Amino acid sequence: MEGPPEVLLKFLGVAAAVKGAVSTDLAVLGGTMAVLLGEDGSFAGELAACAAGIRAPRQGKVLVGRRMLEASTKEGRRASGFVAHTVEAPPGMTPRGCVNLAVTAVVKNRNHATEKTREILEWLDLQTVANVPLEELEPPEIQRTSMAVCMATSPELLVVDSPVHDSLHSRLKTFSRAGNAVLIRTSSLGEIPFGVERIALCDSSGIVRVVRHSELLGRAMGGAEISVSFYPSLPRQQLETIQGIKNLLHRDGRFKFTHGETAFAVTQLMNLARANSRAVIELHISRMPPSALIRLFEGERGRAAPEGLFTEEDGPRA
Amino acid sequence: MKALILTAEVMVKRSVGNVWLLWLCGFLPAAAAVISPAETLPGKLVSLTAFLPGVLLLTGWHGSRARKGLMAILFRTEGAGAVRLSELLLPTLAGTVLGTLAGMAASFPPPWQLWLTLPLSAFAVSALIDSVERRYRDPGRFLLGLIWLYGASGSEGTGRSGSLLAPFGYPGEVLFPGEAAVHPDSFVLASVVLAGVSAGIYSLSCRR
Repeated sequence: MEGPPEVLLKFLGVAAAVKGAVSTDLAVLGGTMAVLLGEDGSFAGELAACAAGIRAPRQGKVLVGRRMLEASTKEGRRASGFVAHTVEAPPGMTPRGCVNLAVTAVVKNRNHATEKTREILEWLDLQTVANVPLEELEPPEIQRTSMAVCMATSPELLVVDSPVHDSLHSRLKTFSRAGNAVLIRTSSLGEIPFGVERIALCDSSGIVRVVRHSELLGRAMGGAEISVSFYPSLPRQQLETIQGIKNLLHRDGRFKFTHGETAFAVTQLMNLARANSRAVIELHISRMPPSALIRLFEGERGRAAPEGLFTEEDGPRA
Repeated sequence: MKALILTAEVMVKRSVGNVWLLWLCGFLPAAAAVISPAETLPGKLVSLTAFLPGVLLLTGWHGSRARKGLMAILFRTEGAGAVRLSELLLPTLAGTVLGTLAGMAASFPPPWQLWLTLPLSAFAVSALIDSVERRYRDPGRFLLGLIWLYGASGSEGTGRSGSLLAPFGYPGEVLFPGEAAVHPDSFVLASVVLAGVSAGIYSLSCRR
């Protein structure tokens, strides 16, 4: 019988170097996929880098793997891998060359190394481009090559920089199902692959809230961030009459707001323009940014305590 | 082992493909010929062959895409150590082999001191250049350039102990000691000390 899932990543008292930063305690269980969702420049990027062992935390500890090793140490780095959009390699190097180099540094037996290289390339569907220089590869192939290089050390945790290409989703799922953990760092709700259970919403000061993927999708369902300009400009009060409008900002004649029902909001904007003899000269609809998603949960107290990703005070659920 | 060999291969490819480095390696013997007294030139050129591979292979290596790429791939493995070993070993070996050939061509049979002075000097110079390229960059290059100029412009065989302060010239001093020069055994001792100091500077530069 299988035992309880093990914790494969722990942030203990990690804090950002900004005023008002909150200390972050967070853990990720084996067999799960979690997401750090935050805008560029938020604490999510730093947490991801710390988890991947690329950077040591300014404060606190980051422990990875079944042996709970410090992520930035030599041993800790072997327990994790970082899947990026680029593969840094000497000019002219091929995916096979990169993977084989990483594998031979871990597996001493030459035949075993060749076999492992072949298996990794096959698993990530890279055989057809195995001998093509990296400079000539497409972005999805580059991302798969990056994952292939990570697989050489048989990591227990993969930190993935989004957007995650579709071809990688099933592999990440397989990887996590094998008892490993995946941590995805992203800045958009739309880039979160299916199969992710928990999402940590981050701002510049730290993790604001941990929520279930389904809960977040439910809240943001059909919602968007809309920016609109009218000619001649409309007074702000007119836009405030639209039901359900949130986070309304007005700058240089341009309105920016979030709304839970995009189609309804756009219809209302058009009606407003027509009723006031205005022309809509700019309309831009984008996915809700993380800051707007965080505001969806404002006013609620307490944190979600789900399996897979939980705050340290909640403790792991067996 | 693969990382070791691949690093050496990548280092050579990068250096040979870099026109500026080739010009630099052509410029140094020419500069030595201009600033060195004629009677000491053979010794200076033999010394130069011992550290020219270090200059060729290590200048700009630490900031290169090739090295960054290798380290990125091997970051999580033992292979990262192999890269560091290779970048020290290759210039040392190349310098020793070239210096030996040049020394034997200049004076056959060479004195026994050369067999110790040459590898130690090649190692010391490689470690110094590596440290400079890793951490101290332009100020370090300037300082190494000054030390080399001091050694290249000095005359040998005059009995001055100053030649001991010109570490880039030890193999040449051993080969062509002159009449009242410092005893060649002193250069062996100086090479050992220099290798130790260079290893210390190298290990300091490796620390984060």
